[in-house]
Amino acid sequence: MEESMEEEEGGSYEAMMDDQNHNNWEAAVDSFRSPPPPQPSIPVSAREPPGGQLLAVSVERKGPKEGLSMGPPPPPEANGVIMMLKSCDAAAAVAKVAPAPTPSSTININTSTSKFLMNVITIEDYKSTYWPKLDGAIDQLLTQSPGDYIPISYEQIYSCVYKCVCQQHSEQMYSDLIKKITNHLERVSKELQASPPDLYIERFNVALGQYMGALQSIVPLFIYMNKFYIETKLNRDLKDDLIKLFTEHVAEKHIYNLMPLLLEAQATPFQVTPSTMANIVKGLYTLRPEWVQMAPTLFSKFIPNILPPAVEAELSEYAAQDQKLQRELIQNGFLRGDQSRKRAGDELTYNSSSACASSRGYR
Amino acid sequence: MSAEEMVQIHLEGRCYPVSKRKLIEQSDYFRALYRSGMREALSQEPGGPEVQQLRGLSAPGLRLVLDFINAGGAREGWLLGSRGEKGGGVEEEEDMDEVSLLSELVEAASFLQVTSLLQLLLSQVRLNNCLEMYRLAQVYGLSDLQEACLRFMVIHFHEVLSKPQFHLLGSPPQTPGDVSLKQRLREARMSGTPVLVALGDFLGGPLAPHPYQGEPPSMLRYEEMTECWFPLANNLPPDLVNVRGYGSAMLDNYLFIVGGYRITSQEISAAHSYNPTTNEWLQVASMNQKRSNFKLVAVNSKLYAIGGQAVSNVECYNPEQDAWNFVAPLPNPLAEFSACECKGNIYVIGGYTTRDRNMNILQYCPSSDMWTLFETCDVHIRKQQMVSVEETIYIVGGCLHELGPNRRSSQSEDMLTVQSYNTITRQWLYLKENTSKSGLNLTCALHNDGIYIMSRDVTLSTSLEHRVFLKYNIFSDSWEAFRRFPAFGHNLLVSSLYLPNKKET
Repeated sequence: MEESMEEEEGGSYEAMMDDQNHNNWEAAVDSFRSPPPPQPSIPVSAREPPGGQLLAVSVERKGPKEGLSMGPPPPPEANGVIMMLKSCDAAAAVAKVAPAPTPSSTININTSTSKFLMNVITIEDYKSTYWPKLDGAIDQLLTQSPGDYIPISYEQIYSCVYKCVCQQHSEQMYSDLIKKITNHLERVSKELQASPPDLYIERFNVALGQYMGALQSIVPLFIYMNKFYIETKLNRDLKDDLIKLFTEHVAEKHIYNLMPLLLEAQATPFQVTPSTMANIVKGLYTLRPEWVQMAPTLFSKFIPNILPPAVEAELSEYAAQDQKLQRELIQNGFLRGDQSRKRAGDELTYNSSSACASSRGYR
Repeated sequence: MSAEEMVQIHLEGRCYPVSKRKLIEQSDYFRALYRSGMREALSQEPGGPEVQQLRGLSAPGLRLVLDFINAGGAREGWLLGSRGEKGGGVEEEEDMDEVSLLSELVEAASFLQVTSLLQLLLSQVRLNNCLEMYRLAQVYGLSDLQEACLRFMVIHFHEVLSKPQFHLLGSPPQTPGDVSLKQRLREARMSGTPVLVALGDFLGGPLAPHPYQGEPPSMLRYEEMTECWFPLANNLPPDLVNVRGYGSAMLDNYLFIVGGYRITSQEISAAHSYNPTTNEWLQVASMNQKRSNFKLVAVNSKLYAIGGQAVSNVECYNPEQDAWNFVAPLPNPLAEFSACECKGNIYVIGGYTTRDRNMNILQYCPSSDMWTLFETCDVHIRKQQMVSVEETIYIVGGCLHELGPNRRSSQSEDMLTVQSYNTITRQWLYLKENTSKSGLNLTCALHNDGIYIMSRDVTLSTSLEHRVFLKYNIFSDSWEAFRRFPAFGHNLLVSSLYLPNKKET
């Protein structure tokens, strides 16, 4: 029992000296030491380390050793991989023999040949220099009208995003971007709320158009972050995320005001231009397809396959509806044209198809 | 047909022409740039060629990427393949250039988002660039490349581990739940299908149970469904043929075969490892001591070669350094003993010292590098095999000789026994015996729910020894016999390894 306790304590040198059995062993080792120690085999291949000296060490050892092989793994050198590779063998030897207590958390990318990554961007640098640059560009893109000349350099902003992503600021940058756009959209929403009803539809259309236009530029600027952070880490897509922001912060808040106005405008010719109407309806459908349910007829005018598909059982009903429409048209003065004249080829088509049918019938 | 529209890319005062169509096709950067409607996307002054300014990239890296784009994307043999792995005489200077060029290339390809080029890198991972590629993949967030490097490093684990640069990558875990790279790789090696593999000098010819074509194979794998043995698509390396009394152990799903003696009674120190994921044998560093009839035990990701014929020293192999170092020796040289790992310690049981029977159970603790007398037993055992599950050691076969007053059975080799020894309660259990099978010169391996044993039948005394293949189920304490023995032969070793799943290969 005493022995097992000793092990659990890790077997300090004192404990070992007190241990009866161990003392016996010490003697046994001594007695064994009298014959010449076994000779190490002569290294055959170049990879064999010279063993003679190590052997001597091992035979002489009595207490717990501060071993070569038992030591902590060689610590990373300050130089980084590339320097390490250059002086591979020598550095390896040094690293093995001289373990330093400094643990390094990550590979130091300072030594990279990359000019982009030469300087470490701290979170303070990010906040004081990099984000403000992006912030300004995003502001400009969000507030200009579609089609305006954009004086911003793509290369500069992209490089800025790229550097931040490579220096592990993706998470912060993503959250800053979302926060910034959310704030902007809340402001847009408030402005819309203050609009008089006669301008409401047009202003909503402008806001939607402006935002979608801005995304045309903002999304490409952040493709590096999208690819190497949002897609891989969050399994999402930046464009989808940004569209969702508009849905949540603008469209959802206005849909119940907007829809009656749209229905009213639809019933009144030329109150709203057809293109505005088409933009808004298509836009709303993109944001949230379920909104169709609020006005299926309106949506069906701009988006195909909204209304339920034709059903065979109701064919006679469709025919009756068409006949009713035709009667109404005739009553209103629209003529059906000369029914007596067949177009050239009609008869031929008819004949050939019937010939086909009959030949099939004979088989 | 009009001439292709060209774009001049400016970098550090130099100018690189490239086809605009190919640029937009291959580079997500330029595709997004032209879509963004920003300053550079608008047509510049008419007449002159379009100019795009880039900053911060390295010129050689950009040139390589633009060459790739101008060539119209991935082509056979392009890029790293042309300067793939070289022979032994690689100049360090060249390697250095290659590494820095690689990082410049990856940066330019990442910045310009040339996806097809980045994709091409996945098939270019080699032993001499996998660490650098992995680092670059981390820096530039290339998760596919990172995965490809990890897969490669799992397959070539020990070769990668022994590179001095590995420790720069294997950063310690950042958070408590995180595991180090080394640990991740080690765990990933334990995947695939566990398969029993038999090694030995099998005899061919008409007497063999399976008529193999040509030379009889020296490595066979067992298919449990059909209860059949099939040759592995590899054989023992020539210098391991006819080596007896070697030590063998599994470490990180490598089968190590170390030391032994040749028929000419020469002891050897050489060490080989079989990597089932590549189906290759590698020669690793030789031991400092030539030894045979010793025990090789894997503990804490290291191997320990314990004793041998008239040898008491012990040496330890660390795959991280690919080197053997002497550690605390056995108190005495032992013969006909056995050893195994159990709960991070090594236990040595049985055999003879130079003077007497060894009745002691010795325990070696790797962290304190100390041998201690664990317990003295009253049954003498020799020539047994040992495996362990949790805190229980299973002693398979061997020759028992009870010395206490209440002796149970006489010494007999015509019996195969299984006993267990619990290292916590220190309790011995006599589990099972099989009186018609030999307990000597057997080979066994822990596999799935049992100990698979190859031994010989002692009831038949024909000119050829009758071999048996059976299993001791440790949960039901029962025997299970298999009809098929791999082949007639000698010097057999049975081992359990993870072979790669068929679909992965």
